[in-house]
Amino acid sequence: MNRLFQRKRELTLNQRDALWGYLFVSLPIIGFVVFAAGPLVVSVILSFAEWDLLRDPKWVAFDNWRQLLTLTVKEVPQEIDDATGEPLFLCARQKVPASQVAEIEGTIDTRTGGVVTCEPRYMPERDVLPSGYRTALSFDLLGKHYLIGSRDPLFWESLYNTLYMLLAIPISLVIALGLAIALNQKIHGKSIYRMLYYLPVVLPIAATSLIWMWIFNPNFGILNYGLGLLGLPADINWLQDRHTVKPALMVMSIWGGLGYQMLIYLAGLQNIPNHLYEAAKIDGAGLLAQFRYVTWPSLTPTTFFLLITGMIAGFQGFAQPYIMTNGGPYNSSRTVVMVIWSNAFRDLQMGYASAQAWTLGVLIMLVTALNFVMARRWVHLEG
Amino acid sequence: MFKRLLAPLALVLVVVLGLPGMAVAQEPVELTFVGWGGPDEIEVFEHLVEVFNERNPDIVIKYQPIPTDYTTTLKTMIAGGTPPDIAYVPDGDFSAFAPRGQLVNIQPFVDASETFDPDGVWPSALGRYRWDAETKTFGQGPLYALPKDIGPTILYINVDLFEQMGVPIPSHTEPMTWDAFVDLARQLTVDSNGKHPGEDGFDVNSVEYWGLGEIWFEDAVFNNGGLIISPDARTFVMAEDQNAIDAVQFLSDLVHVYQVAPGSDQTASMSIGQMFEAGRVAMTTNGRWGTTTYRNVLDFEFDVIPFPVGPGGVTAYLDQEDCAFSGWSGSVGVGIIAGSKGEEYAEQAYRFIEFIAGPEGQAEQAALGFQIPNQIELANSDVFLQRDQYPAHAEVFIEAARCQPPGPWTRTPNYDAWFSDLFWGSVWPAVVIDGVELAEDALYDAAETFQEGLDAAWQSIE
Amino acid sequence: MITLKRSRATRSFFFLGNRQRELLTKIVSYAVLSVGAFTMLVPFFWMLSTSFKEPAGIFKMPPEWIPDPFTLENYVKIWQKTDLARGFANSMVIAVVSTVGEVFVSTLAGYSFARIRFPGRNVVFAMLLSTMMIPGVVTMIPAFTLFRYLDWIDSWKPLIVPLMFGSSFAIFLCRQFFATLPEELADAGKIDGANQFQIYWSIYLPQARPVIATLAVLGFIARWNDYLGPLIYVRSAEKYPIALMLTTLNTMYEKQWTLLMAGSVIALIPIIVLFVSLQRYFVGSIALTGIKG
Repeated sequence: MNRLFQRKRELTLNQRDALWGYLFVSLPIIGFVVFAAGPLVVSVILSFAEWDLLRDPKWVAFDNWRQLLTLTVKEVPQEIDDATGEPLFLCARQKVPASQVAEIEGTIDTRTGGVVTCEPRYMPERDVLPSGYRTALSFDLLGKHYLIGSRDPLFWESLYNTLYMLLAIPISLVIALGLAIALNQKIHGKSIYRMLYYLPVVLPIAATSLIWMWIFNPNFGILNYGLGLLGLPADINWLQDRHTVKPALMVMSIWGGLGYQMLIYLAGLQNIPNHLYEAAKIDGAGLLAQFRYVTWPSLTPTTFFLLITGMIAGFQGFAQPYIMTNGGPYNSSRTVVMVIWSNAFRDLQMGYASAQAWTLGVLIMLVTALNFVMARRWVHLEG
Repeated sequence: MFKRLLAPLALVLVVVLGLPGMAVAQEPVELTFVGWGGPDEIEVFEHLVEVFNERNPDIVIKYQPIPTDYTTTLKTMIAGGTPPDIAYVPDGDFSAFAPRGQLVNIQPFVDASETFDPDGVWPSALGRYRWDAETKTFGQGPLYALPKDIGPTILYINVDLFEQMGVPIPSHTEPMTWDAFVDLARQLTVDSNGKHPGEDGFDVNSVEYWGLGEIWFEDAVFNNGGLIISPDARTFVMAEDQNAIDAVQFLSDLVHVYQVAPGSDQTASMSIGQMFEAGRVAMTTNGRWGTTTYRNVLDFEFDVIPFPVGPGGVTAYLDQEDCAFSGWSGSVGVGIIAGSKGEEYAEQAYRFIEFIAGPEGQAEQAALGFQIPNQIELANSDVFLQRDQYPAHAEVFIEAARCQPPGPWTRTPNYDAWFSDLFWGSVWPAVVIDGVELAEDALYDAAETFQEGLDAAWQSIE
Repeated sequence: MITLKRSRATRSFFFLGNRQRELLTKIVSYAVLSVGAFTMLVPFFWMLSTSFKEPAGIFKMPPEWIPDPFTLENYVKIWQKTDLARGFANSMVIAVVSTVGEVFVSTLAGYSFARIRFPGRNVVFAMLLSTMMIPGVVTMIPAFTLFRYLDWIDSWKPLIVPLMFGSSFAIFLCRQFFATLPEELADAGKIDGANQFQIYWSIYLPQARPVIATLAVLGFIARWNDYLGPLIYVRSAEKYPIALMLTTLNTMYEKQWTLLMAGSVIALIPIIVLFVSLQRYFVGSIALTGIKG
């Protein structure tokens, strides 16, 4: 009896230590609950509600999710002329029944002076898609015309834009690897090169945006000027033309990320044990073979790391397109986070925006997980 | 002994009793005022604020221009609980703020005012800041803000270019028909070989001068008797209104059929606005606010003419009669934000608003050239007409101010969300930019979504 | 081991003597690096060049690299016409305060995870790390509603306070670092009767200079460059940090490129200076994080 009481009277050293331990991590734990776990839970709940910040939230169950994610595929038949029952064609903006197409096609359009061509006129999407759906994508397959309908085509379009711009990552990695290999040779001025390449990474996006907007300027920017010097087409309006805006933004983001990737690759290269190269040389491996069988496999963990971090960041791209083009022209550079942003802060639809944010979040986590799974096939862990 | 104490005692009493009184009398009410604008406009307002503060010692207005994203910033300030007291209220955002009770009803102050004469102000300028909470209608009921300007839209022309091509300048009072307009534009469109559209060998990719830059779509619709939403603003009617459909189709045809206006290929390197400024476009649309820039930037003579009017006639503002042409006019108002200190001191805040919207404030702003004064009389005087500067026929703006309705965004809440995104993101590119879809088809397809969005917008302020 | 065929190219490369091969590799490397570096830097040269031009000068074609006439007027005007100085001060406050807090709390927690045994230590650590996997976009909206509830909109608090609770990345780095330090260091302190905090403060923390330097620089730069955070939470122009102020300059002075470029140069100078002087610590540690990741 006495011994029991004695043990409980004073804390052992371990118990005191434990208390210190808890104390030291108390703030991060609180931070975790308040700023991470809490918001996570709240955003899930929000996605099932409708809330505009001014009035009370309203529970809507799965409405937001249905609006966002449901897709439908429909075949679109040709429109039939009510009067004659024939399929309709569109020639020079006029509706023409099938029987008259032969006469009209090939004639000269008096208004424009050009040759008239005819193409099938399909039923309006409104009569084909269910109520509330609009075309997200249309395509032809095996002679038939199809539509993929969605209730939020802008979201899907922004997802397409975001995925498209992720292509910058592999391109950037290739360049970074090349640069890292060059930097790994016995040359002088390494630290200067390192610094120069890394500099764009640390610069505020607000400042670099201005510079790049100026570079991309169709009339006075040096990009077009340089292209002109090389004899290439030099009047492209990079940021205002739907077809060039995404590649332009990709070039800018490669510029801004290259230094970081190069540094990581450099560290990875320096970590490759020399004996591997020696062994390969003994086996008669040339430079290319050395790269293929020693360098590249050893770098696969690094590549993996860069791919994952690059993708997580790339999926959430916001500041660059927001400042440079604000999603334009015609939403061709609008990213998913921009759509979430405007739903939340412009339209005050906190619930729907949360559903969109979660969809993106889940997508990111799925892609990351997928990468981890596929990593087993190509990533050589140090053995 | 008492006598000796009396004087100092009296002094102390006076001071002690008088101090609070003096403090109250001397402590001015400080009110924040937010707005935006380029450096010129900010300067004008700084000056107006200074003058007002001097004349009203019991009020101190603190002017805080917001550099970007004005509407989002204002919305967040209100939603975040730190609203400014007085704010610019663009007419398009008025329809978001007023129904949600975020603006203070100033009608009582207007009624009581001895200096502000509502009848002397453009009806459409004042009307768009009215909101009837009972019938939930915009455009009628008490006032919740006063306009700080009205900016009609119009066709600007490059007079020098007309002369160069030997084409007579159209009338400044009688609008053209669409056919006549197309003919005129054809004469003014010429490619590097001197060919006009419709002639053999005309090459749309080597056009040097364009007859038309663009006509803004609401201007086209209202100048063909068309409507976008019903008069009660609850129904989206554009998809069923043949006049409106024809107007949009006309805009598409101007580019793709008549080839008198540049398409997306041709605007790839220079926007239409830049082309006009560079002297390559004979006619294009802009609002009155473009005049300031043009006066500084253009090196040719410019003037203004009415829009062409299509077969459908004219959609004029409410009960304005004998309108030869129409279009839309923009405006920015000034209002008191509810729930702010401005609401508590509404009388003082209103005084400032009235100053801005009244003749003196209007005259100062008009001198900048980018707007028309609220007061009809002022507008008809040299304060606005400014005969010594371009455009020489500024009275075209007067008729426009009288007749042009406000844009449809002033009559429904959440216009961006239900209309702009879909129309500009999807309908417009397909029909006018790319010319791959007919206006009637695109509008037909989107009609349901527009209507749903419009319903949701009205629901959101229930 | 792998047996390989020799390709023609590498064979001919082999025919060159060793020294010549090394020389060729070096030349190619220099060439590649220099071309690359030049391309990376062209935007800067261009920015600098434009900032010293007169407004009319930017429209000259072909574009001139060395401005003629050369003028400093943009640099003068930018200070007079805009609140750039205040933007600087604002950014400075935000970045310094939040980084100091973050580093202090993170080193403390990292030390605890590495050197103190307490029940549930690994679980808690894994929990904190897991937050690194959550895309920021998911917590953006609820965080906003939280801060609105606290009435912190239009202040710097949402930007600074969360970091006072440490950041999982920093904690991770600290823990990794402290774990590599020998345990015997603590023993000396324990014999003297020091408690955990004193051990941390006087023994382990001084060893952690490289980590602290890395975290401080990384943190400072991240806060300085942060755009989305201020965009959501800072509304009054006088509280704008430099990142926001630059974009507003872009709107206000839309076509005045010369002025804008001068502003950008000024905004970039502190970062460049900081980076160039501290890059030793910084660049090496970046590489470390990559490997450990």
